[in-house]
Amino acid sequence: MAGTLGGATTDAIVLSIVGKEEAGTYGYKITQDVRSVIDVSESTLYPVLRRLQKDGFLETYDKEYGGRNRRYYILTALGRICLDEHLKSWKEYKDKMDNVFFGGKLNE
Amino acid sequence: MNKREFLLALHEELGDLTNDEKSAAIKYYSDYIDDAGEENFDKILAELGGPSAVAATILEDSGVSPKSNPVSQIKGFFDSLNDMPKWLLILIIVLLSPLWLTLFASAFSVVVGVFSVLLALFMSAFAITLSSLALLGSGLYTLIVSPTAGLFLIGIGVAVLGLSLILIMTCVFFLRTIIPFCIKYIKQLYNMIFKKGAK
Repeated sequence: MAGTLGGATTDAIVLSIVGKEEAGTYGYKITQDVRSVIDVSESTLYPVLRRLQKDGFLETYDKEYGGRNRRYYILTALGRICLDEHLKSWKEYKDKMDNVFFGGKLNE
Repeated sequence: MNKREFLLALHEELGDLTNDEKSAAIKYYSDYIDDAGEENFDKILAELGGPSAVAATILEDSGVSPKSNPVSQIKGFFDSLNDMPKWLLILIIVLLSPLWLTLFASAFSVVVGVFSVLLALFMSAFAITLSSLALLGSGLYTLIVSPTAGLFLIGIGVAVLGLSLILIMTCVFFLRTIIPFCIKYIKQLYNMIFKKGAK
């Protein structure tokens, strides 16, 4: 299943994972969290994060952690809207699929 | 390879990107390695792939083809040679020697040719400057004996001096632009081949 997901789904997963953390989260943790859901290589996440940042869906800030500055990613208001759109279309898709897989006869 | 070497190599592989893009990528991977634990660096490196593989994912997404950088292209070629078994590499080098010896000889003659042209240019600039000065000198002297012949000589001398100025300016142009350019590329080529081999 994971292999068939397109770029839009990867974006939605990343936005969703970053959006769960009020104070934002950092690159390594995002990579680990995404990789627990879909099978992507470690180096594919950076371009996705960078693109989402450029599109204005994510913001970064640096915060001191363990004697160094760590870069944190946080969802913007625009990113929140984009994520909601993704979730909505996912729900529609999922309902249709549920209906095909588990529902009664179609066109009844 | 350690973290520092990885980041330096990554920075180099990102050649064509803007400085903003480069420093963002370097910051990300610096954080990434720190958070994964630098003591696991070998494992991280195996998962990420080498600096050139990481750079390729970034360049691909930013629309800059990794192949557009001639230096990284040659580097990739040498990297792929390193992956081959030694005996195969030597066999290929020996079998292809008629080809690469000729190519090497022609490349060498082209370099020699270019430098000869440059040298000839400098020499002629020098010679023409000297002769224009000689013409001016003898013109001034002839002015006493025969004013018309003297003026004629001075006229030619000034014209030749003008020509020599053009040549001198051409020389200065070559010295200031082309030569530092060549030196930069020769240095890069040298670093690439010999630093790699030293490891």
